[in-house]
Amino acid sequence: MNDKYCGKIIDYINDQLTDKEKQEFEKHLNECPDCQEELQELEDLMGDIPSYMNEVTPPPGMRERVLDEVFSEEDSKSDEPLRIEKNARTGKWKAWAGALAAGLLLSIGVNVFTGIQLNQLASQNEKLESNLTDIQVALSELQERQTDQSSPVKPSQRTQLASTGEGGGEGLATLIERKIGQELLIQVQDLAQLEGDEVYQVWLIDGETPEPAGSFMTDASGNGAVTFTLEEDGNKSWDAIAVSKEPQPNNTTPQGDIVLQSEL
Amino acid sequence: MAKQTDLELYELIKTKDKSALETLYSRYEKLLYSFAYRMTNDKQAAEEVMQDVFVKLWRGRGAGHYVKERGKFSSWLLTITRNASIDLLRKKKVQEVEWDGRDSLNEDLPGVEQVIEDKEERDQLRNAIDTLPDEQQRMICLFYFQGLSQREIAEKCDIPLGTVKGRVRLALKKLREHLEKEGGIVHER
Repeated sequence: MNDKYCGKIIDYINDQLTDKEKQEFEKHLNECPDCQEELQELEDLMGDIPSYMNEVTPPPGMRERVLDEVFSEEDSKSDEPLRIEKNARTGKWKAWAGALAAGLLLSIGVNVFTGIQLNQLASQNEKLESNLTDIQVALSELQERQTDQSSPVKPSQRTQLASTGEGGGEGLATLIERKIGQELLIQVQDLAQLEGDEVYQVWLIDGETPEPAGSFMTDASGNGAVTFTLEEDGNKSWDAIAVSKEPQPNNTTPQGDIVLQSEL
Repeated sequence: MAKQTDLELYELIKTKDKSALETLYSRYEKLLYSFAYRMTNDKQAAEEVMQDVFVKLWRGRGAGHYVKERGKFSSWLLTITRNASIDLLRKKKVQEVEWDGRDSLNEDLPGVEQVIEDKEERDQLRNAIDTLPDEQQRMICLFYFQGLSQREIAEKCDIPLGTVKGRVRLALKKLREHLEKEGGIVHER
């Protein structure tokens, strides 16, 4: 019996494992009769539960709405390329953030960025075309930025990020106006150390909807910083900004606890 | 023509046969919707879950890919419906609770009553859950209906991580015993 994996049955059943953990667990499951038995038992115990629930009449028109949505999927892209697109975008922020924060030449940023993209392409040949388009878009955006970079900027808004839990830490969020849009600069200190795959993720919150706005890791003293370019779509306003500790990078909705937060 | 089995329909769905998906939808609409509604306690959310489940089924990849090892097809459909419900509940919770400016972790979680009470009517399941000791009711609620992780359950109940699995299993077992004891009897109140 291997405790590391056998302890994960609950999370496996409730679908709370990352893809990687899930694969590892399933691999372990094949080799561990104890876990097979336990899983089977729990699944058997749960299996009947739905049959003791009252039936509810579905709302009128649901069938059409659901099936229309399902079949309209056909023409649009399936979820896999979409997800990769999101990842690619995160890669873009990271490359930008790195280039900006370290004050590197933009051309190096382009190379780094292209490198990240190319790595993905190598393993995902079939996605070649959409990723190339991504690169072209990103390159043209970078060129635009380069032009923009030469003009002086000034902050349009500045706010202190306060700690929300016992973890401590503090931060500063600054919004900078640029010709091509707004740039967000987050600087933090005294944050708790990250473990494993954890990252700190910045979120911009509009009403109840958090949107990812860059992620970062901290140094040994808990300092970190990240810049993020806000989409150009006009004058979208944000209600709040928060930093959460996420169990892994690239989450599109928050899963971890908020550590810092402020209203905008 | 003889009625097609679920598996036959599933094979046709893999070839993008729309009418096969429609047939399967008709066959399971009520069961899955009722289940999703019971899990989410929200009609709109239950419909979103239906959407999610059938989109996955139509795509046929990842969570929507059925293999015989997963057991009966209908059980598997219920499992992906439950997972989709849990997923939605978590997303909603993040938006509604985590983002309202308070630290949700220290907040007391809605009790068993609150989660199940709002359901439209009492059913056999509710009656059976009511007969369980509070601690077991809580386990069923946190594990089965809210789909929390082992760590979350341990934190909410202030119990050691290693004991979660055993307590969940015990609660499910007791629930099963009550359900079987009262099986078939419709309770009128």
